Amino acid sequence: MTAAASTLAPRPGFLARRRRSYLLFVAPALLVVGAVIIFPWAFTVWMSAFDWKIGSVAHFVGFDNYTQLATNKRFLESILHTFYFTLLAVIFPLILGTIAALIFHREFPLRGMLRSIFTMPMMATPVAVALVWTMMFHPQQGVLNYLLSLVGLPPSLWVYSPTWVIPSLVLVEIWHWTPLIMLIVLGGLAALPTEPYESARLDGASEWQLFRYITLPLLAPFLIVAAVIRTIDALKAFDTIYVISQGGPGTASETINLYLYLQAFAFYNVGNASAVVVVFFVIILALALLLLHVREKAKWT
Amino acid sequence: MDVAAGRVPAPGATSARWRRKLRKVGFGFSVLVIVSPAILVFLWMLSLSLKNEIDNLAYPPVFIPGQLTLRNFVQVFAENSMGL
Amino acid sequence: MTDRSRDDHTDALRRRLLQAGAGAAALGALPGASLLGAQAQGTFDWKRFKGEKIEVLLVKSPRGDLLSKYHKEFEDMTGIEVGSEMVPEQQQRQKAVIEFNSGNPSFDVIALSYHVQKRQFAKNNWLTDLRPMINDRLMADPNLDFADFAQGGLNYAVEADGRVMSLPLNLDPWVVYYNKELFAAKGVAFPKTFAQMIDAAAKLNDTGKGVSGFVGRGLKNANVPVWTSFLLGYGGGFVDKSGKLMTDSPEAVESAKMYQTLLAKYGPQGVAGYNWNEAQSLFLQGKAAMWLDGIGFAQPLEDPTKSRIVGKVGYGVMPAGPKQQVSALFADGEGISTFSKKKGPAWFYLQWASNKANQTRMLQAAAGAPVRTSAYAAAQASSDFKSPKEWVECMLTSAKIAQPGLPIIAAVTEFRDTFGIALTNMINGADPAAELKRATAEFQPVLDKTEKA
Repeated sequence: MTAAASTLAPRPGFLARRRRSYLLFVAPALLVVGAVIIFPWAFTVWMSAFDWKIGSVAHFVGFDNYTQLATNKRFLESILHTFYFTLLAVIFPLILGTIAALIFHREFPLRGMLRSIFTMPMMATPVAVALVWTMMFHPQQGVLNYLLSLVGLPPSLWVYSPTWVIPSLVLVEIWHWTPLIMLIVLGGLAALPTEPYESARLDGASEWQLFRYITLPLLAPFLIVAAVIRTIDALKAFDTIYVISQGGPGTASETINLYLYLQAFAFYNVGNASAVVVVFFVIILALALLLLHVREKAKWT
Repeated sequence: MDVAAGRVPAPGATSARWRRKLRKVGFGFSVLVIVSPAILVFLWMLSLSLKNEIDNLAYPPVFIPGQLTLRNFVQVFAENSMGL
Repeated sequence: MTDRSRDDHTDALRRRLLQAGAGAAALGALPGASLLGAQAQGTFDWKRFKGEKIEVLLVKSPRGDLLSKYHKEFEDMTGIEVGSEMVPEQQQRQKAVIEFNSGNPSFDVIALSYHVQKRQFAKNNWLTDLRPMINDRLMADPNLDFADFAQGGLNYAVEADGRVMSLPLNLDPWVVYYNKELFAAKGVAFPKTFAQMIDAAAKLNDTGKGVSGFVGRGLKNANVPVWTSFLLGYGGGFVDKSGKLMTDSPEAVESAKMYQTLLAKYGPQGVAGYNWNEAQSLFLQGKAAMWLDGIGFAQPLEDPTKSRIVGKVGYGVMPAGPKQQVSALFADGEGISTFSKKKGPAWFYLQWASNKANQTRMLQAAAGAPVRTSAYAAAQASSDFKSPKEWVECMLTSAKIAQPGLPIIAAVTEFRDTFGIALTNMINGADPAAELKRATAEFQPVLDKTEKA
């Protein structure tokens, strides 16, 4: 009787041992996450409560760094620049990437090779790309103004004009990242079912109607994913802006990230910079959550 | 007319064929427009690397220089160990 | 301080000679040495630290390249192994701060850019005072010849209290490069005063042909020395004795107006984003009549594979302002980390890097402008010499009228940033007086905080 019972029920120490070995397996990963993610984050928040310039003593100031940021005109402007830059750098690649995906979805000769060529910009090193674009942007000796002159347009100041610097930088971002969007959307297109199209065509729908009422809604989840990825990347964009304009002319293209870099690594105001990091993180998190919320809603259509 | 009826296509079909051809050309053109920025920048990068400094700074830009040079590449490998 | 060390040495020498009376005969193999301003001959031996290893942190630049090329010579001469790292400028500065701050830097010798790092290093006592080793007969190279270093360089190397924290290696006074051909075509002579300079820029500015009368840095942070070049000529200063900024004084506003006129009116389109690189390439293509920048950028100008104006380049000394004729000076040198456990071998490296041979090589290779005045004569005498005579003359004249082009403060990068932004805004049409006032108000608290700490 007892023998049968003991073979049916798990032995008492079994679950406990299971849990212990479970912890043992998780421990290394926990350690890594703790060291690489949690500790630096906690230390940053800790540092943001101090006024600390590297090379001198740190003074505890509590929330002072944050209150100063709230009234810091340069910081507030950088938030505006960041949003402006991000908005442009997300919308245009989305539109152009979708168009490119639609084109590459069709069969045509040399499609494979041309698609590979199209994805080349994505694979180039950001800094190298930025340097080449800097040369192309040169008002007197750059190729872009030369091309403009060929079609009869006057030369532009590109990144040397306070008004046009952010759109010009966005141009580089578009060139660089549209292939990524194209690949995501192309994947989505490939997964689309063909039945709705057949029945719609039988009903006499035009190409545009097909796109708007069938393709687009079905693509929505993929577009949202692409938008989330692009938004987070665009918010954090640094190397392109730093290499090409360093946040200039003046502070016209200084985004939060550039401002942060300046504070931390040029002025060594680590306390102030940490406060900027915390604020920046909150902004990114808020935007990401917003987009994911939109994604949830899109799932219903 | 009766004899040719079998061989001459119906009137609407000719314009349909032209429309198809036009759409194909339009499509090819849009492919070109999409792919050219991608490759042209890389071609420009290649051009820059094979020219002397004096041609690189010239305006109007020199696309295919009179004098090609491999000096830039030699310099890069000479100055950097690149972990090799 | 040069005179003081000379006296110390002659005294020390006298004492030792008296002591070593009988032994003098044994030391008869001494090479003939003059007692003039020289450390005593004796048992200075390059091979004293044989077998040791030192780490050197250099900046990626023609000078860094040059020194690295000859490291083998040092190793053979002293038996000290040299591990060196060449890092781009911005990163080298950050690396220095972070490593010094940790208390355990990976280098023994560090190259430093005085206008950026001198005050920062001095305030935190990160470098070793070299005086004990300079005065130590056994440690100092007989050919050290401190008097050979130009005064401008020594001003940077020596602290106000007399401590010698580094050896200067390279001087960079600012000069006006000009296109002789463009000047001759319009019959304009090289300007001798600020008023003539603006006049010349106006006459030579030819937008139809795409030629700018003047080009200079407009990019924030990099552009400040252009303004300070004018500021010094107007007799203005940076910080007064009480620690208050003088950057909104009438002289400052006048010089800012000059900056605005020259760049916005007679400069190329988009100059607000120009760093020395863009300005140099415009000048190289013959599209600018005058270019105000450091003398160290001259090398590509005479290189036929890079320049369209070879042989047409004029090297002009900074014109005189209403109050004085000053050339803004920047310099760099090398120092020994105070945390180093190998100060002796590091000091030997410093002496070698700044010796006459290396300084002459620097000039010959046009890698920079040496601090040692003897290097100029030596280089010119050699057949390898590539730099034009005019460049050398300009260099020597400018060095005589040189003054630091930036305030020697700890927050110099922020200074450049704050005022650089103001200057760039001026190019885009902002009012100079208002911008300077705003920038001064913005920077004063930073200055107060960083100078007192």
